[in-house]
Amino acid sequence: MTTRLLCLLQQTSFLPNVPMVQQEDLVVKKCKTVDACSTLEAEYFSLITIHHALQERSAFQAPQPVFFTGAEANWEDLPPFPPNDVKRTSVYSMARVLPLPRLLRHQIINTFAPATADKSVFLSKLFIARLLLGRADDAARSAPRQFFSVYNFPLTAADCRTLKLPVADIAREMGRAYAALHMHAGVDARDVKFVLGGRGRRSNGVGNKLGTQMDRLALAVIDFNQVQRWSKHADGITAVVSAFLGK
Amino acid sequence: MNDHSSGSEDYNERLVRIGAGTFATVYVIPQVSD
Repeated sequence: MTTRLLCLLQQTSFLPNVPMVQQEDLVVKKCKTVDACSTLEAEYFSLITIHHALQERSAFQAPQPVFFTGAEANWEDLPPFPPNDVKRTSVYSMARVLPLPRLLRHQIINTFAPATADKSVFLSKLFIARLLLGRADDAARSAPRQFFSVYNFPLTAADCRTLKLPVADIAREMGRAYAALHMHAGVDARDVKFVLGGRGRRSNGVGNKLGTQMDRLALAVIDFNQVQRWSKHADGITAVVSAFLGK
Repeated sequence: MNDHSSGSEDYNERLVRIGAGTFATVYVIPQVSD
């Protein structure tokens, strides 16, 4: 990280009380087009609301927001973007959901990769897992996955049980997170992603709440670009249910 | 999807592209180890 960016993070007026995060933890999200900058800005402010709403209410946490800057920003304050992405658009930063610990990554690969796959290709990759506890387990999936990828590796409830993860506890925390999103953040939670990552050197693992097998893991909620505020009145419930069902 | 994992690494200066959605690209400063 450049000294200029460090200064920007420290001087940000959006979150004056946000503690600094370590540089290795940062994710930077940059809008592709000027037209979509308002969407990125809205997502960032949803992130702030959701981050605070989830604290102390669920083992699922939203990444720590760090800064937002509009397209008009002085880009000398930002880290260098690759040459194919220098269009001036909005940018925000947040803490990173860290990759799963190596042991669990290898367990996932060794359990779910087809026998024909070159596992060495995947063993070196860092990745997180997407929790899809509501997805029906396809009986055909007992066969090896034909197209294997570790990108946001999807874990159904059955997959979690295979990996000896505490599915019921994770589901309970997911429910608490939804309640916090709906009733405290006041958003419909449309298209948010529940993910499982690693703790890294952070001290806020979820093992103390969900058992020792979760000691090195972190539960997170990401992707807020489609969330909408809702009224918290009866007339808004249909929209919330629709968002929950993904319709 | 707003991905936080580390995948395609096609830029190796300060930021590494790790994901791209419909309207934004996600980068990370690659300092993470196990």
